[in-house]
Amino acid sequence: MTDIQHLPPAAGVPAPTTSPRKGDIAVAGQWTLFWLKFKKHRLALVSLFVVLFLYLVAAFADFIAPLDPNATNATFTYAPPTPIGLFIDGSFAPHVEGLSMTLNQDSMRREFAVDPENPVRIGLFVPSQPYRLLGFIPMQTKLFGALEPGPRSAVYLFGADRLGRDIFSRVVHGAKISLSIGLVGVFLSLVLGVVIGGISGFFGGTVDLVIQRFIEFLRSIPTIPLWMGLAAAIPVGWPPIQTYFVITLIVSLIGWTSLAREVRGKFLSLRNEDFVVAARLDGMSEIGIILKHLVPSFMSHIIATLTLAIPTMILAETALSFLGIGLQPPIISWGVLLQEAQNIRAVSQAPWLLFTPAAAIVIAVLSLNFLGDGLRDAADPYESHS
Amino acid sequence: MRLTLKARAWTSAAALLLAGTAYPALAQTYSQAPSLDARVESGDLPPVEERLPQTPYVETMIDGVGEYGGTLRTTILANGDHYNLTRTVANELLVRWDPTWSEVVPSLAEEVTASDDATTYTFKLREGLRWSDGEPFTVDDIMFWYEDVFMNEALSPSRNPTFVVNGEPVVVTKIDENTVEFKFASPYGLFLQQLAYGQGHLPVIYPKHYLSQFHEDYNAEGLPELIAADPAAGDWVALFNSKVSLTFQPPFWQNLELPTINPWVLTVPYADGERVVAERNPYYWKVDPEGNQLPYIDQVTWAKLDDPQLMALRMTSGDFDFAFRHINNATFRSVLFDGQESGNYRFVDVRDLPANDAVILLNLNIEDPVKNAIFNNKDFRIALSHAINRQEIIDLVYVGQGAPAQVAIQPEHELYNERLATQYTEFDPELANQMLDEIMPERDGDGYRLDPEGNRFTINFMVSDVFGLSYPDVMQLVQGYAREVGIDIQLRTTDRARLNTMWYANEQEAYIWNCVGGLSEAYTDVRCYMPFQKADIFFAMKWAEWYADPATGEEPPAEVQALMEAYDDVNAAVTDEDRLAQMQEFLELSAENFFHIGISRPMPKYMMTSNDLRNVVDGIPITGNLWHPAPTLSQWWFDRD
Amino acid sequence: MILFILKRLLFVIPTLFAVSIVAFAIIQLPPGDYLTTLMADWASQGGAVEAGTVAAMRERYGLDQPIYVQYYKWMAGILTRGDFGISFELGQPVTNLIWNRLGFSFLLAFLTLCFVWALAIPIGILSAVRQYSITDYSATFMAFFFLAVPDFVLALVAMYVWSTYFGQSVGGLFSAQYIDAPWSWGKFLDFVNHVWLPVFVIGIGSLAALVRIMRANLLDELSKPYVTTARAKGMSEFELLIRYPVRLALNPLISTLGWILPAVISGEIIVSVVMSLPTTGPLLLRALLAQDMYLAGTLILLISVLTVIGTLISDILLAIADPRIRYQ
Repeated sequence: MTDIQHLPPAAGVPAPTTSPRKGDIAVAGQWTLFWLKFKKHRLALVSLFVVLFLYLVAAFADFIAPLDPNATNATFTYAPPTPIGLFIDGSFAPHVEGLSMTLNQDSMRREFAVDPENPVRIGLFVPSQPYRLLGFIPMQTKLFGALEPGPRSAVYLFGADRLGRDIFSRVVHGAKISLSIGLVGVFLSLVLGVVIGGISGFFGGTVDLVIQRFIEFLRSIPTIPLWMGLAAAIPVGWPPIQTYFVITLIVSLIGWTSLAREVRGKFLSLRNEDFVVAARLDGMSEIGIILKHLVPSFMSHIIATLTLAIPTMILAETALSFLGIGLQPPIISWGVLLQEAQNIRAVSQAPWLLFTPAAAIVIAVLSLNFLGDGLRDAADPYESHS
Repeated sequence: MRLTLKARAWTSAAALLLAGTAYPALAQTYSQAPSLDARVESGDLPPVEERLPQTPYVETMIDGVGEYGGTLRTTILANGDHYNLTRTVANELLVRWDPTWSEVVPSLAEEVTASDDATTYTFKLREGLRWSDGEPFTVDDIMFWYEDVFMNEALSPSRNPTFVVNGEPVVVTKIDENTVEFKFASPYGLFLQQLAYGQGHLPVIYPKHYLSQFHEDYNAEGLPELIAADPAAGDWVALFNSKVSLTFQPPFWQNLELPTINPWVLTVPYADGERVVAERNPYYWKVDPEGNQLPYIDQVTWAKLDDPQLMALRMTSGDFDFAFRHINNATFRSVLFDGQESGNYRFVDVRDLPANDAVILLNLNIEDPVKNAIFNNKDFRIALSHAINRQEIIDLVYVGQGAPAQVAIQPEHELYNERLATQYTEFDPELANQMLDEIMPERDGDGYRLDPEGNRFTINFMVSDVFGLSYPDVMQLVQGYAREVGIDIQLRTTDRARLNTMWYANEQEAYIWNCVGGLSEAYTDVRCYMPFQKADIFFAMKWAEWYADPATGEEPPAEVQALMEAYDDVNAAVTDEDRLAQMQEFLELSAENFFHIGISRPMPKYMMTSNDLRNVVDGIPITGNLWHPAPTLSQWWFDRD
Repeated sequence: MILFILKRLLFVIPTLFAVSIVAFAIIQLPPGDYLTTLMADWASQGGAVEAGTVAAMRERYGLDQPIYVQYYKWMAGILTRGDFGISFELGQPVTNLIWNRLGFSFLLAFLTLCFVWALAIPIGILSAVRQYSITDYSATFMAFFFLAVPDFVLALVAMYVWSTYFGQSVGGLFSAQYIDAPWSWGKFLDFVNHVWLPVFVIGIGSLAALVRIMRANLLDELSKPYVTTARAKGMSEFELLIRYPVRLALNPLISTLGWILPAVISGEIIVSVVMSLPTTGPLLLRALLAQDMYLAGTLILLISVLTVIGTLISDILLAIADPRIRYQ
């Protein structure tokens, strides 16, 4: 998964089978039409809500995460996930089970057992250390947390890592980076891909030839060595976020090529279609044809590609992290979390370290893909499938 | 006093240890591995008596006499890990450290004599030593190294410092067929210690009868043809270095023809395959107390793997009989612990005990004048030291294995200095804040301190994830402690090679590393106790350069110069007692300077050996230049009953 | 047609030239050179580094010369003598080191391709024919699931499960006893027993892409009038499907062949490291880290050239399939 891929539509996105009522259609605006078609696609609709939910979580990460994602706790290294219970002795009292820990010197690990005597009571909107929501709203409340916070009453819904950091909080905070920073790269590759691919496909001839050779040249450079080389060339004095931003740009600068090829192919087959020939015979200028007829005809493609490229950026980021050239602490992304869990110890003894961020990635990638498909079909005036 | 090291002449503990070293009563009859019988019968090999020297080295058994046979299966990383081959099978030297690392004892040499002024060392070789191809190993081979390799400008553009004192290289002279003299221009009391470490291999890895054909001075007319036939060599120097490479670089492990004096000789080279194999050397020159020629084990195989995770996984599934590097840290311990039964192995303690596992090294010669002034303020370093919660780091990162300490000799060693080990280790952020208020009282809106010029005082910290010591985790904690006292630490992860580039360019502001010198190697390797031109430790490179050559670098302050003079005295000491006293004085001065901030005193590490393996030293010492367990591997054997 | 091919061949030359420059430039990007690595390595063994030795080696390897001179020498060696330079770290000609590994890389790529196609085509057909059925949903979901799981994670988990719960030997392509043995039936079986896991891990991620292409292409074809006509004429569903739509739907798939092969080869780099496969991946990664420049440069160059040739084949196939492209 080191290459940027733009995938054709998946199954599971039903094409609209029945047309909306004729009367509505006649007066419906472009976006109304779009929405009408889109909401027919049940899976895409569900995905839309999942994606919105994920972005909300990312935006309000500070509020949702009960603990500081970088706060360590020596008592709870590799603590297992603790499920939420609602009742204690028949009365309503939300809690997680308390854990008792013993240090095993032979195997050099902490062993945990459920301590039924000491459940940790939890509640909604608990007070916390002051922080700034979205960077500017001063807050002193978290969505949920232990009612009596203390080093021994930690709430680890998804378990804890090797330093006793809360995986739930880390996954929530990781969403911020994983879901947002890739957007920049996606946007860049989109613009470049559509413009250059469009020019190449529409004009053909020498322009096409030069652009195609250039794309071929860019595509033929293996990505991993290029990433490693460029990452190593970034001055070490740069702050981690700046470094990562540059790498994102690099990834996107390579990523536009496949989109450009697709757009070009689309243009090539479209430009001799009847409606384009007709427009040309009408005396319409080339630019006019592009803007008026060709671009709208694959608007769908553009929107879909946007959503479809985000997952590949997320996956590219995990590959970078694996190579040790991704984000640097204390910044957290899902790729960083996976990379930290990429060892036998986590797989065999603390699978929650691996499965939680992996599940987050799978959910995000799946929902973005299905959403992209739904958008594409809704925007596609020809209901084509490719 | 004339100091003579003789196989027979050991006193006290050493005598007990090397009881079998005296010429054994049964020395006339020797036995060999059954796997060699056929070759002797067919006349392919001479009988064992003729293959062994007249007085073979009689190995002291750890558990007892063993049985022949078996294959030792172990593993290395597929790339860049050839040193692990060296550490497993290639550490045969003129003199060696005993298995407990307490004394230097003769090895290939039967007798070593040091002159009273510690300038002249005479080595008497065992008579009848042979290379692995059966050719005699004599003083001429050592002279070949000295005259044609070490003194040859083309092959050795600069001299290995082990054989150089005060800029003057050693003079080696052949006394007779079995005796050779090493003479230095000035006293070099540490020479035998140096020679017993891994880097002492140089005089004994150059078989003249084989290598002279690749040497310009011996085969000038035949060389062009040999060079033309070798696609990797452009001239005779490249050709020569491709046959026997310096410090066991990969070419050494690729040349199946190269005769050695190691217990096993290569049969599958370290090249592009998926494994490396070595078979027993029929001419190996050590025997057990009953006269059985060593090694016991027939064959050693190394599986080349790309990822330590896979090493651990295959260890637990019983694919290896022995492993230690890359997977012997806290991260893997619990997985390997669970796999003991399925993998049929046990843990053996390894005393890989440096002076400290995690040391914060501020660059005292940093170019930036503001940071330079602050770093060189000893109170700043003391304050930072008090700000660190060492016990928490140890509990979290090292699973409780360690103790809060500065860079110091281990408590079990005679050189232990309590002040050096424990000063400023109490976690006391209040005191730290007080001290820092004296140096940088002003703070910005985020609570970070401002330097005298009014800018936020930020330390860019280089962090490299090496040795399996989880430095990124440690530094993340340190970053938090520093924030509590208003110091801004920025972390930059990087790799070792990149860091190396920065060190030599004096570009790093600060970094975290481990510090050698926890046990006896402190005598010869003081790079953590004073600015000393060596490797990996770069906290005052300019001063180290000045120490090596006062025409270069930067003149250090008086207290550092005093420290350097103290070490010169250690080096010149002749007797053990004098050396100990000088060294103690030196360490006291080093404590006074307090160059860097140590975090955790290391605890013994571990290695995994098959439950069937015998004669494995429990608590075997290992360091960067002490290439164990190679010296004792020839006595390992499989007890399959 | 021949003119088109000739023209395309001609344009490959400047591309290859540019690729060779970039391949060389990538390895020059990080600061320092191979000797930096060597010094760091020596240091870890307790060895001091003498400045004189390093300077002499730098001169010997030609690392003290300007980059363009180094590039010129490298290219001259390749073009005149087929000499790709030597690996500094291993002290051997690069050509000795890479062919064996390239062979395994190709073999692995080929097997992976076969595996993915064998899986993707039937699933794609099924998904298209049974559009919006449970089969369609679950096949697509599984394909996407594997797309979303990073391959290095999948590799480690698969090895752990296979080793711990099934007691099988994992990592590499052969068991210890067969590594240096000549090919035999036993070795072949051992190879098969080892190779399927990496093939699965490398291939499964690209399954989603191929299933979707196949499905979409087939759906396009199925909605065309000739299908309706054929159906109206009473042709059996299966025959109808195989006769034209599937064949036509495969066309664009075949044209991606040129792209997929190099993508698999550079994509397996990470998996190969995790699974210790004797392919080019681990060698390249190490060469990059150690700044073993001729070895790294050659591998990058070869992968790039492969892609260029792949694109060429892809273009030619496309031109054969769709004359519009040829006569643009």
